[in-house]
Amino acid sequence: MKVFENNNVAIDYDRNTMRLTQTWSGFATTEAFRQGIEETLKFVIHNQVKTVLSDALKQHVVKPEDAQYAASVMPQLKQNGMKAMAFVVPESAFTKLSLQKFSKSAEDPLVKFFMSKNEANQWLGQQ
Amino acid sequence: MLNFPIPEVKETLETVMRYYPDNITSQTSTEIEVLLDHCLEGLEDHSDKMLATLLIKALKKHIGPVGADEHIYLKKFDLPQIKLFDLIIKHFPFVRLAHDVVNSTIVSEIRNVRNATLIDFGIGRGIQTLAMLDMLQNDQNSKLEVLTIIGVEPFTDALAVAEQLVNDRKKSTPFDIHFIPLNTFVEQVDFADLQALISDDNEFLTINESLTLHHVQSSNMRDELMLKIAQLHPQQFLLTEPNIDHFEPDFHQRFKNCYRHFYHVFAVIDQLDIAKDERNGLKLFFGREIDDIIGKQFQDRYERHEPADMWLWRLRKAGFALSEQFVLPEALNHTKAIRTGWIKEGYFGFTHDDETVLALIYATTHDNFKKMEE
Repeated sequence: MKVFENNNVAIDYDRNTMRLTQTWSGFATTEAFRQGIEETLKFVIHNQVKTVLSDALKQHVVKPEDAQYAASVMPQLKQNGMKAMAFVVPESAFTKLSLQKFSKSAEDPLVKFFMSKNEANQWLGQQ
Repeated sequence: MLNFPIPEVKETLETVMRYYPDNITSQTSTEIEVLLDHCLEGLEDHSDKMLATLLIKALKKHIGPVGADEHIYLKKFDLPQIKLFDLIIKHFPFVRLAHDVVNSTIVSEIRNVRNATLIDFGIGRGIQTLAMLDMLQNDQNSKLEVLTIIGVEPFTDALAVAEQLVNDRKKSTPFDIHFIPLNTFVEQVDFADLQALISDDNEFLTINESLTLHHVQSSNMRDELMLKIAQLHPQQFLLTEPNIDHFEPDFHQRFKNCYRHFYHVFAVIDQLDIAKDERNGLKLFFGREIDDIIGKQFQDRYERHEPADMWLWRLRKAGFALSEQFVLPEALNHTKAIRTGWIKEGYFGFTHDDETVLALIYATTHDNFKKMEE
């Protein structure tokens, strides 16, 4: 089920697995990026979401303050039932640095990083 | 937990440096911002991050403010100038040992004559000259009776310090010292006047320049200067110059040269037996050179280093022959951070890993000095 879409992120929900999937692409402005984060949070609050997959493979760089903003919503996602979150590691070296920033800010053992969407889905399936 | 490899600072830096001047967009500016943010974290423990921060700081002079203000992070490494000079003179091997080799080479010749003249282009505060006077003073068998020192220096305050320090030594040296200050840039020296300052009794003319000639702005001016120096017929003309091309007009190539040079300089600093704050203070000191090399427009640039090969070419063109008669002090055998040795192209090199960072060149206009095989 399609939850949200803008130029840089498509958010889908699978009712069977209770998994929300973000598929990022290109370079997002602060507004577009935070919109994706806020729509994710909004959906998690109002629906049953067990796991979140963030596919950042084609995502371009994210501003440090936006990466920190994304990390700052993690406690709310968990409070509302999210058990685990998996990232597909981006191709871009700069987005990897952004993801490192997110990871340091979030410092969450429920977050893991994978080189492919298959691996990420497999791990999330075991949670 | 992060389980993917973090990109190398060098590779990402190389990418962002390619964006200037034609590809500065909001995405590429964000990439610069993210890299800077990454480097500012832990830069005191990682030379590559410190170097990248200094290079991005210089790049920002062209593209305007991007991301965090690195000054806030860097200013804690600022050391008082007096402390910096002390560290450089006592611990930084490129300076300490280069002074030692050049001074030993000068002393080995002027100790054999009664009347000698030293012209020092860029004498600064006279630190190297004083070290040479120490060597001469301790030489029991020196024949030297009169030493004329002509100190050329554009910075008035530094020259006044040099004059004072040299004059203070007059009382304790077993030979007479005449100090003649010339408060000017080397390229503005009137060589007829300079020639007139050399006494008819002078038996040996040695000319020293340490990290000065690369400030001469153009290639033509450098060639003209070499010709004028050659016309003074010095027995010794000793040059100490960084062995790197920062004369290069292409921004990206100059960045690559600059990165390579300071990567090795910083690696040597990391091996010095000094406190971490002092190591970082030294690196920050070199940030001023990086600012000049990368952050300024070509016409405003001052640090225009050239590879040693280029200086050799200019010297030969001006009629100089090259000598390999450097006198090597014992201290060279105890260097940890660098290797020293003769480089077959015709200079004495101070090398870290595969990079010869500093070159000492011995040129002469006198046939009776042993020359290199051409």
